[in-house]
Amino acid sequence: MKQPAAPPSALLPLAFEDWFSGKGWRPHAHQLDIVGHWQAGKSCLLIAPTGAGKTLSGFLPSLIDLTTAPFEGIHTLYISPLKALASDIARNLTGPVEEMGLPITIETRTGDTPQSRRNRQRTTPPHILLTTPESLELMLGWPDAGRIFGNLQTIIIDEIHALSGTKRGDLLSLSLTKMRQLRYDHQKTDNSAPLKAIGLSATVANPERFAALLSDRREDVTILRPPLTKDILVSMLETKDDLPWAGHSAHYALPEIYQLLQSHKKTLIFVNTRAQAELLFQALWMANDDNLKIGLHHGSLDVGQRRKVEAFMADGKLDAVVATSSLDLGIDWADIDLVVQIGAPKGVSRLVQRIGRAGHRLDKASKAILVPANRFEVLEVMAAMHCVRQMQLDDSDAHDGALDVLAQHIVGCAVTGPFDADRLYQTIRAAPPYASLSRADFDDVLGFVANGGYALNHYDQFHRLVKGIDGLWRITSPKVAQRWRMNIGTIVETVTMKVRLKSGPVLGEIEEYFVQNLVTGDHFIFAGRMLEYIGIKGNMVQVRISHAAEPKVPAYAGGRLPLSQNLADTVRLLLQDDTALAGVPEEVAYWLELQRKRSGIPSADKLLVESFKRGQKHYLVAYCFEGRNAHQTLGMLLTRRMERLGFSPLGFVATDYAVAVWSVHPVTSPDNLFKSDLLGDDLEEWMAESTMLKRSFRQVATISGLIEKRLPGHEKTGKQMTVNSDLIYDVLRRHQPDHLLLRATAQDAGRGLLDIRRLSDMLTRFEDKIDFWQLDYISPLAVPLMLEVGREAVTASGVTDMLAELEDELVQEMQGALA
Amino acid sequence: MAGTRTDFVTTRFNGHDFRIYGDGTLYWPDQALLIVSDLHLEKGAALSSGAPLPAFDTVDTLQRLQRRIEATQPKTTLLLGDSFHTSERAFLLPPDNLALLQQMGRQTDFIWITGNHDRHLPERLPGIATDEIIIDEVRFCHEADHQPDQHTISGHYHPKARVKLRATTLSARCFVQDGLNLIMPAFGSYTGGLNICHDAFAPFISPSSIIHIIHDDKAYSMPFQKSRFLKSI
Repeated sequence: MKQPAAPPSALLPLAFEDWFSGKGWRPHAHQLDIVGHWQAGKSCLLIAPTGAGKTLSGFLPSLIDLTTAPFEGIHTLYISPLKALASDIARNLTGPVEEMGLPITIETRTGDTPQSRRNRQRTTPPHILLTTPESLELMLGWPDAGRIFGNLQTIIIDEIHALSGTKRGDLLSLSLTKMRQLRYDHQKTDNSAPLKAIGLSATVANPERFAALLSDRREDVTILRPPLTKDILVSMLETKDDLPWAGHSAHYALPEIYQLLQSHKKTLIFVNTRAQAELLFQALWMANDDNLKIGLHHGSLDVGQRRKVEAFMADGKLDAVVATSSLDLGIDWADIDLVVQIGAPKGVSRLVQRIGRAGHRLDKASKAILVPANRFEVLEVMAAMHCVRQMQLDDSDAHDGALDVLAQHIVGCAVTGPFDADRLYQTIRAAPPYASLSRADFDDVLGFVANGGYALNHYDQFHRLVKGIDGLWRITSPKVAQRWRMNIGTIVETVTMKVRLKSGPVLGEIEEYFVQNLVTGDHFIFAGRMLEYIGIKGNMVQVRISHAAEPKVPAYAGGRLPLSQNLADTVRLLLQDDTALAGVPEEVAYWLELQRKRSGIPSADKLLVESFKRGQKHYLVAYCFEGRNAHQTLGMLLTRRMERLGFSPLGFVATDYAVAVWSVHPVTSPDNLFKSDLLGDDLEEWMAESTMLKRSFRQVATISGLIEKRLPGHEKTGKQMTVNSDLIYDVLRRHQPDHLLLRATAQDAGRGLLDIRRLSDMLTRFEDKIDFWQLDYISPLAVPLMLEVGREAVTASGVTDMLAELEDELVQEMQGALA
Repeated sequence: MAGTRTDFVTTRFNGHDFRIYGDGTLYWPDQALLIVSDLHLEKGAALSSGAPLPAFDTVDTLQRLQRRIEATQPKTTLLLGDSFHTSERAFLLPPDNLALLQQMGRQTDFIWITGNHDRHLPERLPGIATDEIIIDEVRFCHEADHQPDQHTISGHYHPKARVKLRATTLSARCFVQDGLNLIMPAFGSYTGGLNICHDAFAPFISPSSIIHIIHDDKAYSMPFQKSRFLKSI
């Protein structure tokens, strides 16, 4: 007879106990806890490190319940931010279910699920359905959604932190609220078993916010933080070569990075951008004397190629993988014994997530080595190590739910069936991001959805929704539903093109923007190879293998995240802490010492600002540590104000740590510059003209359903059948500047690309607390910044000047040719 | 320098001086003739079947035209076709937009060239309609058709250029001019463009072609040079 490994639990049916003991395992206490809470009708948020059996914890109550009593329909809905993760979990779950011989059906449903299976899922749904937020929203648009989900018992949300503070999170919270409402309407009673939600995450700074997502009654949610400590060994790479002043490639550390790969069994190397991934991969192969098997993984590579790398890694056929955030989230790979982070980590939560990929078992420590790419990054890396050891995670801001997402959701509600506006407004306010949505804003969004909400009234024929004589809103035609289904979701992809090797395979996709700047014969690195651009054929970029020495590197939008507030604050504190600074590499210590002698050191309670002359230009440098986006905005506002004050500014450059403006005349006092009223000045005018706003507008217009997603394979014909969103933006701004979509655009940009809140907090905090130094020479801290000059974006007036230059240049060339 | 530029450049075509304005219109001073092409009025309404687009494009386009008419005081204004996005929409033109047109019709004589989008035009529009017109040996029509020895000013193609500047690239509407043809950019607020590197422009593009780029209400004239003009995809 088998000896049970754990004392029998009243909660576990015999089959489960046998299964656990057969594996020589015993259930974790938190796994049994969840079962207990579930059976009492409560929801749970489980925060536990990777390797703590989180997935099984989430499913255990459902598996037990489905074993104990027969059940018809969907019992449990599992939602994951990644399609691949949903499929992986389905596989991992099917194993135990089959081994225990449980009568439970498990299926996935994502954008990749074939139509035949989708149809069958609607008539004969599985007990456990694994899906993504987008597919959930789509299913909730079925007219019979109330019946299909009417008896749902559990919703499991995996990697719940990945959705926080994003538009996807907004959409999911709306879906969950709608689900509860549908279920309530279907059952028409409060007495049946309540819907239980289980949230799973390894890294959560603010559990309360997620608890609110799981249930509209906070008292029904228990936050479980099992006392499982997982050791994290994190250190900074020591190198022979000196740390560079600037740059992001970490090329100086290549020999040491390669040594790490040699001395570890399996290494995961994370970089911040796809471009860095390509460069590092290339460099490692050049140095690969031992013929280590190294793979490359990023979001632009062909899906097949990515799956292959993942499978090789899972089977232990690779020694190392160079990856971007495409591997941040958790598909389980055994035996990764080292995680290397190249370049600044930018945020603590993401770093912890990445480090968690090493030693993916609870009894093994996670080992991580951080490699700064320049001197400022050393400070960031040290601050990050401090935060990781203290588990001081980034807290994303609570934000108001996005209005474009709400517009999309309202169409979805009408697709499900006619709705009453008052009642829908109440339901929507139950979704945490929309708790403070005003009725006026709701009505505006409803108006936009119904007829566009434009201040012009001669186009009555175009309506998406109408209010019937019964007072209920409904869609005007089945086309509205069809269009909504085709365009669901909040991820507006950048337009890409397939890259194909001449008479060879497709290597992946590259941004159209990058291709537009290529000329036949140009060389670039992609998919780990040096390629030569041949031309466009059909819809593909044709390339051949090349052996050029100096390639271009593909540009990818959105590759760079700004430095998190948490990390920035820690860097400022670090600079004041001599004991902590004792650990910095020698050249960095010398650099800081020099700075201390020549100028000031940035501090937590004062803003360090320097001015100095170089060549014919006068520079003004502010070390704000508020991240690149906020600094870009500050640079633009400073230049405008300096223009008005007669300093004749010429340009500016912004990094994550500081901003520098140069001008014809020197700034002798910062008094009129760094004021909180700076934001009032020109912000709106500049924002409206900025190309960044046009990009945000395209997103908002797509998510809200004004324009359709550009689907791959749908090519532009000679005359476009759609109106370009940039043109719509310009016209709408001239004729109805307060239109809902423009408000939503400004809200988006203010939060993301311009980071206005951080900038305004900073200006208020340091008002009249400027540590101003007028220097004779450039200061040591300013050197890295000067090396960035020339890489900055061009201002609007710059374009006009350059056009005139081009005109002169070409005309002169032509005259030269004629002479 | 950018600040000192006038708002037009002058170009010579079949022995006559024409002004190319930064808003994409063309003016022939000797004839007091204003020429404008591809207004695509009511495009917003015509494409609103899926979701209601902001249909301010018609009033926006007309107001910009009105500003040019007031600034140049042309005796005649020639519209080179595709003035409406569809013939159907021309008949459904809302009353205030029609009123705006009629008001302009009292300041200048409209001649409507018909295009492929607007074969039929409603009678209530001010002015007259025709499919082509020749003035002082210059022919005006909607689409260039390579008649030998016939100097033609036309629209239809919506030319747009993408140029490589020092640190960036710029995409903007443009005029394409060679010995026999002058092709105008689209004027409509919702009309996109077709890159001049597209095959459709091949008959009009040679090293001796002049490209007049329109950006931020200024015009810039330059010879076509393959390496500086980029394709768009």
